[in-house]
Amino acid sequence: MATSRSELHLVVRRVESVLVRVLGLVVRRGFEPVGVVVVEGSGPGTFDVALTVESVRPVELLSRQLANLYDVHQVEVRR
Amino acid sequence: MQSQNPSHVTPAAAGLVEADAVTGARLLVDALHAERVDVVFGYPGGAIMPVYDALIDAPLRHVLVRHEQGAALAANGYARATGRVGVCLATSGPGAANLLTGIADAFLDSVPVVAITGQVPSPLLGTDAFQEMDVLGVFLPVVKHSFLVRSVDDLPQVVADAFHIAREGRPGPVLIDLPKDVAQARTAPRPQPRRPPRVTRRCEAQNLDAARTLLRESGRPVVYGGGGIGLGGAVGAFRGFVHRAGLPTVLTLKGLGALDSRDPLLLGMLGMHGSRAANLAVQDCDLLIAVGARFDDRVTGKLDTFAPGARVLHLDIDPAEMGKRRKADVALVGDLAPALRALDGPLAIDDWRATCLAARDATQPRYDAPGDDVYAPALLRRLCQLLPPGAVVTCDVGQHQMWVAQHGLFSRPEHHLSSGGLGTMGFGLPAAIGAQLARPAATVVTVTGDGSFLMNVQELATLARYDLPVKILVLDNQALGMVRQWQTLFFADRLSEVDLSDNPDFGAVARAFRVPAFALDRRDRQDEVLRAWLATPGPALLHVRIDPRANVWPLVPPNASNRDMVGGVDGDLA
Repeated sequence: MATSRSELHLVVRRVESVLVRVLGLVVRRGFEPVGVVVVEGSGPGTFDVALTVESVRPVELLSRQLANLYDVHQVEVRR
Repeated sequence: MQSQNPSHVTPAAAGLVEADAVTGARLLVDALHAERVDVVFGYPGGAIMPVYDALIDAPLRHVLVRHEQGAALAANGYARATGRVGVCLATSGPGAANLLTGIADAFLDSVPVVAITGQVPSPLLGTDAFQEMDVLGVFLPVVKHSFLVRSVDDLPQVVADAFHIAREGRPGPVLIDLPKDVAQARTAPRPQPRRPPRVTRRCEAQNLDAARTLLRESGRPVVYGGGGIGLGGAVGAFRGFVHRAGLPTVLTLKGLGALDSRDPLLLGMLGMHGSRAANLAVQDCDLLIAVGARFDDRVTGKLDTFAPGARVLHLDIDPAEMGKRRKADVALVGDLAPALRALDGPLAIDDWRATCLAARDATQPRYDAPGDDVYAPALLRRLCQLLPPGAVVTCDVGQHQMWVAQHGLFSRPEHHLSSGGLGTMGFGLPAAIGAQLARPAATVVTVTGDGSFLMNVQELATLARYDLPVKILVLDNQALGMVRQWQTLFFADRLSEVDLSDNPDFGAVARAFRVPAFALDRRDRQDEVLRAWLATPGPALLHVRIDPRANVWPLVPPNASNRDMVGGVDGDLA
């Protein structure tokens, strides 16, 4: 299977270790982060995270795992 | 939750602590009590000492294990036996590290556990302090969620959230890492934390319609039931669905007991050591109804050959399981019980059902092995026949675990506690301790092997200390039998580090811990010895010598299709 690149946009709670939590899950589930941009979120106490990943696996598998994290409010896949 | 708003001044931070101030440690044990925790499993040490001080006056029972892995696995067994959250405690650094295996086990088997670890004082975090370890970081891959408590005022809400997260949706372990200074800090008594209500998640109505269509269109359906049925409190709804629709059913290792082992529609366990009838029914079906199961590699064999002609109806609480290993034609994401109750029956599948059941009846295991020595499958079948209703059997990992799954008799999932996902040798004894404390009136038996037993043998001291009437059955083949079997079959019989013929005298080991011991090495004494062992008040060990050459059959070779299983044909021994 060919590697494909995907972009995800996340809204996460701005709490300790949240970025480690998100990136750790990305790698453990078989996706390689190749781009990460984190900015203050538009909502209070949040970060907006733009994440570019590469994998042979369908990105929906990752987005559903990310959505299960308690500190992740929202996940959107943008190809 | 962690302190998220530094501008929010808490009573402790402001120094406005009243005369009736309490410590963080006291808040913690009060919060555990508020969660109706009746027993915690743990082992003290430096950073957790404030909590142990608070435990002296707490209305909780603390069970002192002899290794922190025992605490995590006992909490795990407690939770598996009851569905309630199990709790374990350890100190920082090595104490926390020793919990890891038991927590990873809970993660892979979706068991609700809360682990509380002491941590070095906050100012020392990140300085390589004595017994410092990045516990939050180390546990991240194996917990559902975790907290590092930064403020004493957060503690009640952290505990309430941890318990809620551990048990809601797909259950799992949650870690609370508690720095010593936070445990010692004093604050005013805190208001009651917010507790989110339990919410039933219902699958979408249009997907239910699609599921009913799949069922109606199927001529050869099979139900594939997993551990989610018991975890989701859906045993009654599952049995109702299976019987209403008259569906041939196979169960995973963790699904055993979702149907009674004697249920007329049960074909057996599927997968690597599943029954021939179960695996072949799945291979030949045109609709696979996966209920609370996750297409684990030990179930599917070579994935692209698994149930090759089947459409898949997948029911699970966790949306992340949909399509993870096998695409679902229809996905019902939500609580299992309401979804199962909404599905139709009966189906016009009389010929298919008869074919499946006839295949099962024609491939029943035989228990009349030649010779006078103890035949493990027959011993385990007999043991289950002698156990009273409601008995709990825990296992370790290896050949004996598969024999228990194949030949045991279980009427409920919580009667068979087996480390499925992680495959943790050393699980059996501490899990039995947890199960016995959770269900004091039940008969609790642990079946172990000579390899696994020594992994947590120190917990014999816990059995003796609390006089828990757990019965331990050691099946001793003088080897790491499952590894030996694989080396024989798949590594050209080149045996590498599997010989355990220098085992200790297991009876003497037990007696050194004040646990009485029995021995069995002849088949004709089997009933007599089993009965005497089971009738012993308090804990007791039974050491059974078995044939070191015995293998587990049937077997699907690695990276093979389940259709190519070896053994388990008509007339084979078990």
